[in-house]
Amino acid sequence: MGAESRDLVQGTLEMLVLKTLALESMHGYGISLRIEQISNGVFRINPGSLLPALSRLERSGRVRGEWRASENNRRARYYTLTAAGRKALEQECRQWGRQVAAISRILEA
Amino acid sequence: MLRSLIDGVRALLHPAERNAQIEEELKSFFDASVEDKIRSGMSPEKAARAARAEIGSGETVRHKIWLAGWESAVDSLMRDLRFAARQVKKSPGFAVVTVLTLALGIGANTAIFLLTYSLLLKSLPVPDPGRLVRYSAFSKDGDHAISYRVYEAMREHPGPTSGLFAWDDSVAELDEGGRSSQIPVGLATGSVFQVLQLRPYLGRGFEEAAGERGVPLENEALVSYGYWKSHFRSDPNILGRTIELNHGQMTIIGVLPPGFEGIAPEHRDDLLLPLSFERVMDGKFAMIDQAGAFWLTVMGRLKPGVTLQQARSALTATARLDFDTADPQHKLLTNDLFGGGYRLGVVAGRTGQSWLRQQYDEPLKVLEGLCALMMLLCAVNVALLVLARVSGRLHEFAVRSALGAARSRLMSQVLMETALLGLAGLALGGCLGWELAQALVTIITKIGDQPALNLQVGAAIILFAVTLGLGAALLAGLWPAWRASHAAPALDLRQARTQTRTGHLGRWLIPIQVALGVVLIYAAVLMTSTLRNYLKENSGFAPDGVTFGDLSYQNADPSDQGQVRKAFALAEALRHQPGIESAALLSLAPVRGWSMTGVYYSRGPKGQVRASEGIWNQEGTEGYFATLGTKILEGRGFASMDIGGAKVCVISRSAANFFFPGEDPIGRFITEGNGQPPPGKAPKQSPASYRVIGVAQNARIGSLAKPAPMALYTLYAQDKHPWTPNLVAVRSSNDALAAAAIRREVALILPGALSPKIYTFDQAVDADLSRQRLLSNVSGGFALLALALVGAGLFGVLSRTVTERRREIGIRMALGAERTRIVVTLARSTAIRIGIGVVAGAVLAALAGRLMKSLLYGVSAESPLVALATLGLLATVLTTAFVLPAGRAASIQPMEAIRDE
Repeated sequence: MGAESRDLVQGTLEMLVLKTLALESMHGYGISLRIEQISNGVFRINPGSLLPALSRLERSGRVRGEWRASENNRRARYYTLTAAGRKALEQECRQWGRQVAAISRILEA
Repeated sequence: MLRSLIDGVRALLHPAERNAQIEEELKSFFDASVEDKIRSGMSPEKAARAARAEIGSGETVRHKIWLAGWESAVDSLMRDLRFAARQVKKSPGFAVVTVLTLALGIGANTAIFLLTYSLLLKSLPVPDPGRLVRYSAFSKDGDHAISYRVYEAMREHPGPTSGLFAWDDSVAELDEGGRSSQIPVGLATGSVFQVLQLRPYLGRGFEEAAGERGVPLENEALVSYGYWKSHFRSDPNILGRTIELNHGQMTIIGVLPPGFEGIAPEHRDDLLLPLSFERVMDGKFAMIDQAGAFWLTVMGRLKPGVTLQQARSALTATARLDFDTADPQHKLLTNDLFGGGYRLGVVAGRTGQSWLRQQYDEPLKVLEGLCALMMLLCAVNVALLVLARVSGRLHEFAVRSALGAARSRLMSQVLMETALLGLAGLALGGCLGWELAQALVTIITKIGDQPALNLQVGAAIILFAVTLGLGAALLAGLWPAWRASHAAPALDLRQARTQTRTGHLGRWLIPIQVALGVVLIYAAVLMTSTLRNYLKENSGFAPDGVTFGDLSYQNADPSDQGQVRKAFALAEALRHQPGIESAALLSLAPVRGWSMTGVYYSRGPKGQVRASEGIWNQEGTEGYFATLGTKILEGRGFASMDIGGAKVCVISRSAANFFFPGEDPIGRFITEGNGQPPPGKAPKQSPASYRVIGVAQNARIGSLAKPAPMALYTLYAQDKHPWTPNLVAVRSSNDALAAAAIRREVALILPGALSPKIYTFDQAVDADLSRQRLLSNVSGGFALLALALVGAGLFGVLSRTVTERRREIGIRMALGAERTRIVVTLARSTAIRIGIGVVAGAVLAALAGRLMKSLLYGVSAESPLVALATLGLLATVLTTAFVLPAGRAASIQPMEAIRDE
């Protein structure tokens, strides 16, 4: 996979965002940074994909966004995982796990 | 979900706010990114540059965020619609013609569907109407009413039903403050409330056994919701109010549920009365007490789990026996009236019961079929119009395509423009359809009756109209849309119009138009010929100048000689009015669908007896033949000298041929049977014998649409027990004068009677032939429209072809082709296409003709004259449409045409 997050399927990106927010509430750039760090630079999410994804998640009630002062005393929109979001994350992780296991089985067959 | 809805709507209504939000979030992302990069050691400028590079095009990102919400799709749609509207406004002429064409098609279809729905499809407004069934006496002529005795027998064996009720539609006389009027009423047994599950809006219903023969009559009535609102002004104290009905007091005990006005769409009842009220209305001749009176509709509700099929089988097992034993007179009398062979049967009762439905079932179905063809023709014309318009804008589409517009976008643009036109056509067509439907209802309404149907716009109608309108518009726009989306920039950006690609579809649409036109014109020729044949047919009357007045009396008791004398005085007084040539009283109103038959026999010279149960009896005064115009062929008509003497009669030609074949009927005797066929040894002459004094021409007394029956005319004055005369007929030179005279004299001589219903013979004929008139008028309208559309279509296509091929024709002319050759070539290609259309149309028309067979009279579906008339009409229009473009083609100046780029 390249460094372009365009290679990530839309659903997978949302799952990663939800997971990131499960640890703590963050603003957009923070999420992008965290995903890049944890994936060791494999995934670099640009705002053209992240911000629409966050908008979709907010619309579907999985995250809640509010304007807060960031670490530099600037205004930033912080996103928090909701209960519905937590449930969705669980489901998606399970789904992902199944898919990965299936692919592994096929590749090792 | 709700959150998404609210946010989306807010974004739509306050786009600036949303944009500011998006902008702010992106900005904060940028700032955070810059901060982070500075922290990792970059200089501020480098950090800013790097951050900007990471984000890329801010506009693109902002747009992507906007797209994440559903409102972006709605916003996009709104923009497209506004754009489409602007494009349509640019060519108002095209828009107007297209909208008109669609409106005409939609209007016609909506009108016919309104009628069809109201009469054929609408369920009774009661709970679970699908479980209702209706019992009837079926013969090959249709279904007929049932007698009370049979209903009683059925009530004992309800079988598959959980309950039965009997119903009659009638009119009652309401007296209010000295003024009397007639109101439509329904008479029913009390079981109607349980079977139909009627829950009165106010008050209560009848007892279960109310209205039955043995049960004393309660003077109770219910009013319909509509009548309560309009006539009683929603009086909250309506319960317990009394009204004077047929000279007796009735107490109102309830208000029927809103929407329920009886079981027949054409007879909407203001009051619901117990069935036995009929005794009050008919006195000595109450049908509820008579055997052999057929006047009731019987309906029931199936038990849960029982199907109609099971009900049918249950019926055949037991019913026939009960039917005939319950009413032995039935067999004899029904054989007379219905040509024998009736069976008690059961059908679905969801739509109630309607005699009108039987009459108009087939015509409406035929009209629906023609409507569909009409709509198709309109759609084809609209397609041609849109195609022409698109062809004129290929440049615009080519540019957009070259700039990267997706094919689907271009297609959706054209479809949206067409859809907008479709909506406008729908609005206009809806109004047109409503007006047309009302006009059609006046055609089928009987004289003096309430409007045949109470048209209401419900969900079904709206759904139909919208689906039809938008569907037709979109269908018409499909090919032009495809054409627009495939505008090849290379070819269409150049002005060269040498390609005739856009004429392609136009060429294929011409045969389709012609085919549809052929069928519509053919149908119209058949229907109008049928109507004309009925009218031309020798009816046996001279209708011009004849006016009728329906008479009603205080009570219809024929032993009241006083009333009969008054009626005579009425006829006498009218005879002497200025402007009136003659007047007569009659028992049977001609051409109104009434009938009155009896048994008569004659004795031959060798003693053989000829008898018939189907002789129609018309009783009148001596002015009868002069007034109605029925010619006397042999002997003479009635004269005043007959009044005091032995009984005389005049018989129709057909009766003369039956009773006295090959002999001179004058002076012979015909005797009245008394309900039984005569024994072999009938006396030659008896007090019930009439001496034949004349033979009259055959007259279609019952209906113009039925053959003339055998008739026997007698005199009121010679009848010891005459029925009180039902109507007076007057021959005059001025209808208005006659009407005024009748009204005046009735008021003078029969005070207290209701104002007579007055109508002319021509009006009666119109009403009698209303079915044929409906078919003829509507199909005729369609044919005219079809001719206009086909002509316009051909004209349009040819004009465009000539325009597109200007250069080509110019070159050919410059190379030496003669003008006539050009025209001939054009004519040949056009003729081929028209020919294909005619052949296809002929096949369809043959099919249509077979379906319409039973509606024809005096003309056969395969008649060559009909085919000739159809093709002749079509040829006239098509030739006219051809002439102008051909003339333009022939007058092209070669040099100019070639020079024009």
